Amino acid sequence: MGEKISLKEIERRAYLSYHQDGLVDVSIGLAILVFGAYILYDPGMVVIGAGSLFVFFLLYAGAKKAITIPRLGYVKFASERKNKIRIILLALALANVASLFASAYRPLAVFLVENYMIVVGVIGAAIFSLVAYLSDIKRFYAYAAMTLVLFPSGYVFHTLFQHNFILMGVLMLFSGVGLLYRFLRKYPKQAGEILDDEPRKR
Amino acid sequence: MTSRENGSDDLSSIVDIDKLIHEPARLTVMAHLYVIESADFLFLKQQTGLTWGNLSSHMSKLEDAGYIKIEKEFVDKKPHTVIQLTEKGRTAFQAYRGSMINMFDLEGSNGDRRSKRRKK
Repeated sequence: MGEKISLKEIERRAYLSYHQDGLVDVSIGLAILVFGAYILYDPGMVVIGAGSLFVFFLLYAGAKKAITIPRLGYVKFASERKNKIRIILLALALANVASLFASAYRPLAVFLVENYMIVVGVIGAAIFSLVAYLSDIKRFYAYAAMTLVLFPSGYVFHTLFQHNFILMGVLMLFSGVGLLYRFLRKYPKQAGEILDDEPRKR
Repeated sequence: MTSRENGSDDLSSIVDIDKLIHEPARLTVMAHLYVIESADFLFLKQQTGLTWGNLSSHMSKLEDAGYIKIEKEFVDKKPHTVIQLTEKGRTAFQAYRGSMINMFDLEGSNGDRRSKRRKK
């Protein structure tokens, strides 16, 4: 029996094919890894470490242009997709603002500091789940589960907070590199002129 | 209205189907362009599985009909061909989709009635 294919499914497949290169995993994994290494080296350098995240998002954009577009082509998705990305960014910004307000309330700040491993695990898992839900990239649910297990278990087993970050980063990086390898094999770079200007015989 | 007359109504909806869109390769291209904003040849080639020659000839037919717009633009000083559905193409695809849904709904209900009659 033929599989039922709807327009929504066509759009979803096109979107997912654009993100099967693993570059988002590599970028986020690398950002988390470097952030973990930064705060391990000097816990006071959290701000600089967080700033380094922006560099990795720039790297993501560059890698997408250099690796994905020459192999898979260029596409602009409809406004519905863009709105979902805006929701993710808005949720991240709101979480940031909420954490600032929460830290101003002393009893809550004390609770957060005492249970920071669990708090980071729960917030991280919530963010990854939101990304997975809105973007349809299901592997982010696995990252959410990983965050939820890794950080609170660090609280139980008294591992270093920084080590959990580094481990999380390494796992995401490996997953991303695996996806990237598969992507490069599946979509070899298209030769010569068709990359820039496809032949149109009329 | 007799069932024979009903049948001729069904047939007229089949005749009215836009044959330019109905061709499987062009239908795939149109469906992809319908759900995205714009794309280049390479993306459409990868998504549809068509060859360059095939894709190019179908694109020409769709462009001639005014269903798609092919524009050259410069990205990082390199020429880049971007394709998008025109308003006419969008309307035509919606009409095609609607008539196909109607046709198969009618066919389904008529077919059900006929098979029930046969059982009686």
